[in-house]
Amino acid sequence: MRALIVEDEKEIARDMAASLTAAGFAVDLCHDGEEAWFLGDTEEYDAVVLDLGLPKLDGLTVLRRWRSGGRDMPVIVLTARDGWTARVEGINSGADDYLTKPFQMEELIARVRAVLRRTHGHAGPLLQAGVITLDTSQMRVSVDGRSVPLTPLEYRLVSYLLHNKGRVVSSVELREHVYGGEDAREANAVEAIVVRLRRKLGAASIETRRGHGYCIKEGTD
Amino acid sequence: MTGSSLRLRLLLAWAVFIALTLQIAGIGLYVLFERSISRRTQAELEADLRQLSRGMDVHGDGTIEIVRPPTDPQFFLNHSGRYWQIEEAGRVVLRSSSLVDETLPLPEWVRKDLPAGPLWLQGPLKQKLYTVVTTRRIEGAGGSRELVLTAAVNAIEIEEDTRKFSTDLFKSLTALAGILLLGAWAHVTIGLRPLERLRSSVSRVRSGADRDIAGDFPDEVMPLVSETNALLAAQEDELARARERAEDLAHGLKTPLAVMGAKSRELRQAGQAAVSAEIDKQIEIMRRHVERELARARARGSRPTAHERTNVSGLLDNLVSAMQGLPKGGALEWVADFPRELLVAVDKDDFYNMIGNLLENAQIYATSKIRLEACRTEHGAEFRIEDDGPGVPDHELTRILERGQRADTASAGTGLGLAIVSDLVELYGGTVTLSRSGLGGLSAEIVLPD
Repeated sequence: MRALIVEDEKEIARDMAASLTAAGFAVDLCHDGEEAWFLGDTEEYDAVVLDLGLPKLDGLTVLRRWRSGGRDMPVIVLTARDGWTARVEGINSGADDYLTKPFQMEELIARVRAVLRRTHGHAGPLLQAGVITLDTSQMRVSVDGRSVPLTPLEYRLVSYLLHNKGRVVSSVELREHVYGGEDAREANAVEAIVVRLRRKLGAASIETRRGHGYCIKEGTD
Repeated sequence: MTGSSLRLRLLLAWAVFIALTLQIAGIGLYVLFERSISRRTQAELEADLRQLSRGMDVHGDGTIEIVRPPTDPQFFLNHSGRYWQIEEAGRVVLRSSSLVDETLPLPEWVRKDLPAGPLWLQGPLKQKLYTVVTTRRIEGAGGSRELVLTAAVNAIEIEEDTRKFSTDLFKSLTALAGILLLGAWAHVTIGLRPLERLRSSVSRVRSGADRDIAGDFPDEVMPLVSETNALLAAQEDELARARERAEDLAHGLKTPLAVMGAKSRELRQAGQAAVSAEIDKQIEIMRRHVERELARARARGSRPTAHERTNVSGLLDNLVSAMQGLPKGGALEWVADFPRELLVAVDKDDFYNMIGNLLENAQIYATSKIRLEACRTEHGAEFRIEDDGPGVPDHELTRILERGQRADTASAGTGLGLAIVSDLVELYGGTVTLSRSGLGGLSAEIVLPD
């Protein structure tokens, strides 16, 4: 899962990035509206945290441009407590949720996970495919009830596949959603992670569709 | 009227002044009257003496006779209080019949050295007599005789006149004092009227109706007015600076608080969960203070002096559609009932903050349903937001409107929402009422006056 944080107050931005990274996200950071618009328009994000007061281009305009350009990733807007005007305009411009500044990082992560679940049509924090269970709130993956330790990259990859359960996901798409913008992206890196995951979760856990990509099926066993 | 009342001071001064003046006037008039009555009496007695001396004759046998005695009937009534007497060489020769068989006891020194003015003698029946004495040389057939003539009148007559006069004087002076006091009261009242005007002006400033003391005042009060206006202006500046400082302080605290939050998280990751939890709690408390202060600063910034009337139905539409677009809001049933035209004199941002906070609150606690109603009543525009959540116990209802209090500490939200709503509504002179909703949860009602 890959997230974009747009916040001009660097300290808070770093803080949010650290928290979301710890929560299993690949995080990109940017501090102004123009860069935010560009990144959101060109990169694939699973969630965006967007401050509304931004230099160069304000958050509302960025959001409207994304939506009118057909970018429909979930967006959480950050507003001041008394910023109801911005909040109402933000939500009516296509934001999925809002968060009042200041906020607890736990609250942020819970909101991001909630919009992700909603976007992918899940009701609770548990994602399941056959014997594999992923608990997004605990960041734990288990097979047959047995907990399996995963690296952050492995977790992100299996999490993305599980969120998109039953759909074939290309290695390009996987790469975009598993790595942050600044990480190195070797061509065969995704393949290497999939191999490691199969070793940990079972050979049949992730299916390879030659020339198309990877898939976790509904009833894999 | 208190002891430090200006009116009382002035009236007291007037009273003292009037009392002193009238006393002096009274004494003066009394003395003048007494002197005049004494002069009159003396003139009368001297007239008696003149009449006496003119009516006397010395016969050839040496006897002295009153040919034409003074005619005043008083001289013939026994002990009437009016007497005359004629002496020659210390021996009483003749006397008025009113003396009966007594004499006027002239002291020895009087015979030797006649006084120019009147003297007091004790006469018959211990009457106090006002007496005039003179000597006359009478020529007649019996030769020339040196006589001492005395005329006297009972002083009680003079004293009676004086007593009557002083009673009259006292009465009229008292009446005069009353009239003067009335005048003084009118004078003080008229004189102090600008001060009363000043007081009502100041109270208008205090109530916020006026920014400074306006109007024309007398020259003596004007310096006070301009000094007070200068003071008000200085105070307003100082207040504005204090608000700015409070706002700066609140803004300045935000980032350190965020950093402390991050450090607290590091602590937790390092295994210091208990310490971190305590720090988080304290940070939360500080954040609430900061947020409340910022909300207040903002609310004060948009002080509702004269807002144009806004049709808020569109704003309500926006709010409801925004709330429905939220994860939780989308799952709830929304019942919105308000007229298409609802004009309220309110700032758009303030309105969003009032209703938004209430809707957010309802959305947090609602189980399945939120109702939003608005209408125009005689008191102004009325808004009611209800939810079917657990509600708030009756004894908590007033407390949660106060500074950052919340009915429940377990759920989301910082508890500031309602306090901010309360602050804002108060600023517009409106009211917030919390009660139990027919839906089962909390009912929040705002009335914004026109």
